[in-house]
Order: sequence, then structure tokens, then C-alpha cells
Amino acid sequence: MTAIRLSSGGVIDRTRPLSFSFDGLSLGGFAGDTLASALLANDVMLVGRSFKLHRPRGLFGAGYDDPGSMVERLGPRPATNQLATTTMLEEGGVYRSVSTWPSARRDVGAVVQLFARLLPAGFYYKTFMWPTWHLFEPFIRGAAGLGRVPGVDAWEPVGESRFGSCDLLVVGAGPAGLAAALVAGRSGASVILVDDGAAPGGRLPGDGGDPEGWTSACWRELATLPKVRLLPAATAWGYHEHNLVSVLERAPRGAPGLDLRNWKIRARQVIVAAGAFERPIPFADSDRPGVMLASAVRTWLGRFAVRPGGQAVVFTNNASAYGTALALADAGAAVTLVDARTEPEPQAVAALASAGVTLARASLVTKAHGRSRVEAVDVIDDGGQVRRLPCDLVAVSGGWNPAFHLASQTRQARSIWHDELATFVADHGPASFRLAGAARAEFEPVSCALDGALAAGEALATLGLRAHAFETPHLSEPFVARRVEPVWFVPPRRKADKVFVDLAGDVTTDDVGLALREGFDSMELLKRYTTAGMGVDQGKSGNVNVIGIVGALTGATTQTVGTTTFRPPFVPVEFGAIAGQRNKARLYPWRHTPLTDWHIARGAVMYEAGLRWQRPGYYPLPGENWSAAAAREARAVRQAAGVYDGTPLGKFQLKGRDVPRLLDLLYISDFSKLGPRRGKYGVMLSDDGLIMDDGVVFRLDEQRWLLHSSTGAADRVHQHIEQVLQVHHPEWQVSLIPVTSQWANATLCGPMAREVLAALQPDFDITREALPFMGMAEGMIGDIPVRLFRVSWTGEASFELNTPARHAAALWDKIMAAGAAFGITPVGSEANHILRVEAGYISTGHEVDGTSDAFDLGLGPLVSRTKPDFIGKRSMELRRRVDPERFELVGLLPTEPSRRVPEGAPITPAGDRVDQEGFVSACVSSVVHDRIIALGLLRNGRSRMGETVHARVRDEVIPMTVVDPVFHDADRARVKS
Amino acid sequence: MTQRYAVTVVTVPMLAIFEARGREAGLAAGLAAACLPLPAPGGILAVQPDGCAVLRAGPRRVVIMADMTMEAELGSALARGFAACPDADVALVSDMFCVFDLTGPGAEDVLAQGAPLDLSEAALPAGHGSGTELWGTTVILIRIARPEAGFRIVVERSFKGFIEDWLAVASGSGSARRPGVMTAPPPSWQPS
Repeated sequence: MTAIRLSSGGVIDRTRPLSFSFDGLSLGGFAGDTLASALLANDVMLVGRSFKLHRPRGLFGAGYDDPGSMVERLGPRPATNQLATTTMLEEGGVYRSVSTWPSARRDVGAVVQLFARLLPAGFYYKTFMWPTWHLFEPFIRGAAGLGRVPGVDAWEPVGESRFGSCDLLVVGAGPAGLAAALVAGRSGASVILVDDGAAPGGRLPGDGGDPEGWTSACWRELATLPKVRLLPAATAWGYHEHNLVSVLERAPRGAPGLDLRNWKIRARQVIVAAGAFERPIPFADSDRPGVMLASAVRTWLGRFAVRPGGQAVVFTNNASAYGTALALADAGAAVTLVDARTEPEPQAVAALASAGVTLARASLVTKAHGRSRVEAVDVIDDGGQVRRLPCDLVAVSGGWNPAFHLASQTRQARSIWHDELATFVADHGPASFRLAGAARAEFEPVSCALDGALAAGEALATLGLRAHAFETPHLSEPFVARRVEPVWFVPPRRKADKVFVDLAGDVTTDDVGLALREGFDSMELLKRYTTAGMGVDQGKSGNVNVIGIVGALTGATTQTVGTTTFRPPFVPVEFGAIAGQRNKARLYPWRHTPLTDWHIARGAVMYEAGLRWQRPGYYPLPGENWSAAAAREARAVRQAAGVYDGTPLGKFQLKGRDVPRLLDLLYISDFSKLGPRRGKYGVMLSDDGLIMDDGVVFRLDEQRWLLHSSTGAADRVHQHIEQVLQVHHPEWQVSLIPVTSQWANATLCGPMAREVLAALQPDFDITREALPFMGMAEGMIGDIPVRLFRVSWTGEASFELNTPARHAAALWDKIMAAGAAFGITPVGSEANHILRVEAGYISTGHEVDGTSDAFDLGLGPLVSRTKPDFIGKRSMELRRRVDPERFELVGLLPTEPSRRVPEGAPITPAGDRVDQEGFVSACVSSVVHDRIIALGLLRNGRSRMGETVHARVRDEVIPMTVVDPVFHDADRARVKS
Repeated sequence: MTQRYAVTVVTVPMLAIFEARGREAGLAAGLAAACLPLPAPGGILAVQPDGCAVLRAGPRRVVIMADMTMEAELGSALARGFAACPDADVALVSDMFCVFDLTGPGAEDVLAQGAPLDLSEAALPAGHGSGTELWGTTVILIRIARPEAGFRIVVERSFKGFIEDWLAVASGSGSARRPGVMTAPPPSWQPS
């Protein structure tokens, strides 16, 4: 056993031991462990298999930079594709490696390695072309390296999505982030500090667990500042416009039962102090378990008190790994440091010597030996001498890549090559966005803290706040990367050896070379062809190496090769966290009329019918299905009386001298002569000359008008009118107040409607003379105030009774009682649809589909010939001039009278699979004609009466005869009765 | 079920609510006739000694809220006042809105799940209100002063059930969705 738990140190709670199992092994850890640290502490180095070739893989990074230690959690809360390095250990946890069988140790899938030479980059594209990729896809995906979603017991995390606001958002709680938050918080700014670690401190080794340490002191003080919010275990994963930052918080504190919380934080200023990611130096078989980033080794030692090996080789090209070597030696490991440089820093060399660490200068590790864990490495010196060093751990450091992903996502910060550090850094982002610390390529801890404080000072100045004093902390880290000699990879000494440069996607240097030879020489193309940078770590560990290798192979400079685009999310984010509780019935707002309880009590089936309104679709009697119920209700309206809930119709109160001018501009008809107590039907066009809505306007008195819109277009119409008044004619004297829900509605309709109304004993005159079609009245029905409009959408005499919503149920009860003697029935949306189709009335969403104008729908006579202009006039005329062949409203009778045609079905010439010449907009079973009737829009339809046309429904062709679109009350005598 | 956030949701009994819209001079004149002030822009809520509250909800929008017992009298006064104003109007909207009081230390956490508005006390102090979006609906939020501490939510009554459901779920309780609604439409509506 070579990986061990140290007897002291770390941020783990040794008083709380935890037991768990992994791939059938019973193991133990401590509270505060991640699954990864616990596995290492148990000397489990092999944690999974690689994505494509099923090569044995171990832990490589210690956080989100780990390229693939994915596990499946069998319990508690079964879930898959959990990253071992960020999964906190819990008592009784049962884990297994993903995409292995029966285990990572003895994986049958490893047989694929025998054919590895046949599986280069682009292999899938070239091979699985015939007959179709989809034939092979299930097998390929099954064999590839992600886990299976658990079955019925799958964990459904409770997610919450919420907004947040602050003066300053600080991303990262390392030295720079802590300093920035402290300066801003002390200055009275509202601050949100986000950090993806379980404890603050960033890469300060072990400091987060030291109660006397600077990190802990900062954290404690921040927790006391009233306007500072600390979000540990939270990752900023996306930057969007105007400083809107997405943050995923895991297991939020103070929110029992909540697993994930997604923040949408709007910050006035943003400081990103997200640190830097170490990159490896790939060499032959450097993907073997036991080869890992030097920074990861440091994390295991410092945070988790785990020494991942007893005989270590540290391979580096910069000074930062010297600290790792010293830490390993201090933990009792035998260490050899292999430095690619010929002249490492003298003080670093001296430190190694005094710690008993062997140093090999100007040398390279060329190959790892061992299979399920590293057993030795080959080291070549500058004289070409190769020697084999036995080891059980290789810590690699190829330099550091500042984590400026969020800056890049602003699309204003460019990535620029930094020669001395051999990496990319970001230049300026938006004015309200700053990088600080290692994210800005400043790696020394004290400098990072000062940089963070400085950035906070600048941010506060823009907010009009004065930065509070900041004391320089005493932080010691003598070995940081100040000079990096790039080593993008070590060429293998044998051609057969593989050098994996992107572990997440099993991408080798050979794959990169192949892609270049095949012409994929842009980084964006190469990325997609090889999948380098497309794995779970999104290239955090391997991307810059790939860029360097492309430069080396093509002779281009690294700056010229360029980076790929950084896109959100920075880390994997569960969709459920983004949605939060916004699902199913809470996905979109739904609305009720004040009569919902009344409808439900009478057995109505409620569902949406326009603009999220829940309305009664039909009121089935025992044994009735929807169509029978709808037919019975429609028949009642044709023969006696019905009442339906028209509450959702849009209603807008207008007042002012210029209302007639407004109406004349909005509608195609002339409204200027509309007198008090009278109404008029109107059609409203959008700017492009197509019908936006149709509705009725009543002039209530000399001062006020009431504009009705259709239900579905109410919001659109409101916005349209506001735009006219606020933007185009702010000088007009018009007041507009939406009053839709103030009024509840009972639309009484049918040949007996007037008799029912009389039985209600209103205190106003309801004779034909006093209350003609398009007339109105106001008064009382008993103790209920009502406003009555004579409008019809059914082809029968109708009386729209409106009352303040508080009286709605009482009014309906009265109507039902008064109408009982006349056979009144409540009518739902389905019956209403039948009635309006029979009468040939148009409907938003059916005939008014966003492509039709007034002439198309037979409303040409309404177009004023005297008005100089109205909205949409020019566009409508222009369009009709350019293309006079229009889809026109027609009636349609299926040749087979009982054949229902799906609404929306295309009409094509002879029913062939060619471009459509129209479509069926509505189809119902007529209670008047006892057969199926339909409305449709047909090219030049009005000139094709009597012609047979064909609707195509999948593989069936339905012949229909073109007829007039009014099937009932063609002279409108019943409507006006 | 234990709540995740410590809040109390109370449906306020129906209030007398009037909405006035128009130009500033017209609004001021109409309100003055009813002995009400026109608050300065900025979401200020002017509460009168009799409890009638006037909220400047926008440059050209004022919402007046009072106890229901004042509806008739207030309505008459406002109608008289605005009848004389050619460039402003008032409408009774008591039936159109419902009002919730969400109080408790978790109120901000609950509302932040649906409202993009900055809900901090610095941005929305007590005695101020603002129009905003709440789970896709349009609402007015008014901060309730301490000691109750929380928010008054004025929302169109048609969304009452939707908001009730959200407030329950967002506070960590179970769904409060009304049974019998949101059923599936008949088969003929399914895409063919």
C-alpha cells in the first residue's frame, strides 16, 4: 500500500468516519472527504476506464479540472456521471465506475484496446456511413464512456432557480477573491462571493482548515458583514450580457431539502478571481493511474491529508511543482524531481537539496510503465541517456492556464499569448468586469490578494464608494510559475507508444497530427474532428497543450493558432437546476376566470383556450364523450339558449379627445362617426399589413370607449396600442386602461336568449328597438350591476352580460335559474368552436394565422375607402399588388360527410406531395347540417367554388368540395333578431 | 410539510382599487379632486391617514388602494375628479386584482425565485413599490415595513391560483394547485 492517509492535517473531520463502497470494495473515509480523496486514501488508484479505448484511468485533477473520474452513485439517491473529485463522501454511499463491466479493475470492454490502432480520430465519420449512422449509434453510445441513467429510482434533485442582485459579484475565494470581497464588504457594498470549493482558500495549501490562518479569518469576517452573502460550493458557470452571471450552488446552506440552486445574479460590478488550472506534460502512457497533476497532489496533501504515493516522480518545466515535491517529501515520500529546464531557480534547487529530494535537470519523462497503476517511468537526460525510475506516483506540471473563461464569455476580452508564462491571458473585458489574481496570471499569493484588493477598489470607485483599508496578508508560497519553458508533449521513443493529450476524449498526439494532415487545421475544426476539449472537463487540462502541439506540428506560433471559443457552462450543470420548480403546470402562467369553481362544480373539463386562460372545454353528462357533449351544447344554442364564459376577452378603456383618431389608425374601418351607446366590429392589422386581431369597440358615452380584443391577442393588442401612443403619437390625448379581468362575462345566446334575458327582469329596456344588434345597455339585474353588449360570434342572437367579477357566480346562477324553463345549457369552448365555424366567423389562431389580410378572409368591404391611412394599409396593398394570388377563406365539405379532417392539414394539388395550395383551418361536426364541415384558406379560393380539392393527411388524401364559408345564418337575420 | 423558507402568505381581503392613467397634470388634478396626492415618480407609496394608499406605479400610472368600505365614496370622488381631466382617466379595478402579503425572513428568498427585480431593502425600501415580473405574470411589489417585513403582491386576479401555487412551492411547501384544472384537451386537439 503506497497511498496513505496522513495522521494529521487536512480539512476533514476525523471524528466522523464514513463507510462507503466502490466497485464492490468496502472502504472508509471521513466527513469532508470527496469520493476521490477517500478512494486515494484507501489506495484505490484505478477509478474508471477511458471514454473510447477503455484504458485504465485514475484521478488526474482534484476538482473540475479532472478529465474523467466519473462514477455512478447507486445509492443513496441513484445518479450517474458524478465527478468523483467534486462528489462529497456520505455515509453508506455505494458507487461504481461508469461504463465498465464488471468493474474498472476487470473491465471486459478493455478488449477494445486491441483494436486501438483502428480507431483514430474521425473513425466514426469514416466508417459508419452505410446504411445510416443511426444503425450503429446505439451500440457505439452504449460502449462509449458515460454512465447509464438510473431506472425508476433515479434521484430527482430538488432544484431552485432564483435571481440575485449585488453591487459586486466576486468569483473565487482564493487570496484574490477573499481580498476583493473583504475590501468591498467593509466599504458597505452588497457583495456576493462565490466559490466552488467546499472550503475557501483556493490553492492556498491547507489554509482553509487552519482556524488561525488568514483564509479562515477572512471568511469569518465576511460572514459578519451584513451586506455580504457567501456562497460556498457554488460555481459561476456562465457570463451573459450586462453582468448577468449564472451560478450553480450545490446543497445550499439554510435551505433544507434543497439540492441545487441556480442563481441568475445581476451584478453592477464583477471580479473574477477564479485562479488558474495547471496543465500536464503529456508523455507516452501518461494516462496511467498514478500520473496526476502536481496541483492535485498538493490538494490531496493539504486539504485531505492524503499522500497519493510513497515513491514519487515530479515532472515539471516550472518552479511551482517544487512546492509539491517538498510537500511530498515532508509527508514522507521518496521524491525525484525531473525538470525540463537546464537552469531551475537556485533557491528552489537549494530547498530540494535540504529536503533530500533528488533533482534531474534538463531531463524529460518519456514513458510511464505499469498498467492499472504506474510502476516506473523512463527519464531521458539532455545527453540522451535513458534510465528507469521505479515509482508509484508521478506529479506533472507543464505550466498554468489562467481561468479567464468568464472573461472570454463576455465576448469582449480577447485571449493573448504570454511568452514568459507560456500561456494565454485575457485582455480587457467590459468596463464593469475585472480579472484578479491567478486568473490574471498573477500566481504569488500575496500579490494575488493585493491584486484582488486593487480590483475591488476600482470597482467600488465606479459605484461611488470608497475602498476600505486592506492589510497585506502574510502568505507564503515561494515557488510559483514565473518562467515556464513550454513542453507541449514529450515525443514517444517508440512509434507504437501513445501520448494522450486530452484524457477526457482519449485524444492522442497522433490524432492531432492526423487531423492536421486531413486538413482540419483550424482549432475550431480540429476540436470537433478529434473531440479534443469536448469532454467533461471541456479542455481545462488539455486544451492549451493541443494548441501548442498544433503550433509545433505546423510551425505556427501559439498565438497564431489561437484558442477555441469558451462557452457556458463552465462546469456541467443539471437542467433541473436551471428550470428550478418551473415545470409542468408552473412552466407558464395559467389564468382563471372568476367562474372557474362554478364550471368545475358543473363537471366542466377545464383546459387552456387562449393566452393561458383555463376555460371549460365542455360539460359532459354521464356517459358523454367530448364530441357528444360539445354537440349537445351547440344544439342547445341553435334551438334554445346557451350561456358561455367570455370573461377572457381583452377589454381596454379609452378616454380622450383623440380616441377616434387612434381607432381610425388602428382599424381598417372608419370609427370616427361611432356614436355613444353603439358598437362596431373592426379588424386590426400589424405593420406588415396582416391581421393582428379582430374585435368590437363600443362607445360608452361621450368621453369613453371600450375596446374588445380577442382573448388570444389581448396582450399583443395592448402592447400595440401602447406603442402607438407612447412612440408614434405621444402628443395624442388618449388614456388607456386595461380592464380585462375587472369584468366577468356571461354571453347569453340562442333563439330564446331574449326570453331568458326578460325572465331575468333587468331594469332596462331590452326590446329590439331599444337594444338592436351592436347596441348596448347598462343597468341592474336584481342587485347585480350589468353592462350589456349586443354582439354575436355564434350565428344566433347574443347578449353579452358583463358584471364586476365579484358578481360573476351570482349572475350565472340567476341566468341558469331564469333559463331553466327555456332549456338553457352552459356552453364550453368546443361547442363555441362549432357554432362560430357554422356561422363562418374567423378566429385568431385558426384563420387569423399571421399570414392573412382582411381581403383574404372576406373582410374587404370593411376596409375604409375614405380614410387616408391606417396601420398596415400600405403593406397590405403592396403585398396584394406584388402577389395577387392569395390564400382565401372558403368553406370545405369532405366528400365523405363523416370524415373529419385534422385542423392544419395541408391542401395540395390533387393531394400530391407538392407545395400546399392551402390548409384546413377549422373542422367541426355541424349540428345544423349533421355532417362534417370545415373552413380553410385556399389559393384563389373564392373563384374556385364547387371545385374538388384535396387535403393530405400523412398517407391519406381527403377530397373536399369548395363552398361558401358561411354555413348558417347567411343573411345574419338570426344574429340581428 | 416543513417550509424551506420562513414565510407567511396571507391573501388580503378584497381591497378597493382604482387605476388612473394619463399625463402628470391630469393625474394630479384628478387625484386632487379626491383629496389625494400624486406621489413623485420612483415607486413611492403615499399612505393617507385614512389608510388609502396611492402608489406611483409609473410615469403615467397611479394605483390607489383602500379599504373596501371606502370603495363607493372614493370611486365617486375619483370619477368626479377625472371627469374634468381630458388627459387622464380612472377605472375601478377592485375585481381585477388580488393582493397577497408575503412576510417573514424568507420573503425575499421566495420572491427572488420569480422576480428579476432587485429586492434588497436598499433598492426597494419600505414605502416603495414597483412593477415587475413574477413567474411570468405582471405584478406590483410593495415592501412592507418592519416589524412584519415582507412584500405586498398585487397581481391580476386571474393569476391568483397560479401565484398561490408558486408561493407554496417556492417557500418549500407542497404544490397548492387547484384540482380539476389543467386537464388535457380532447384527443382531436392532439397534433395529427
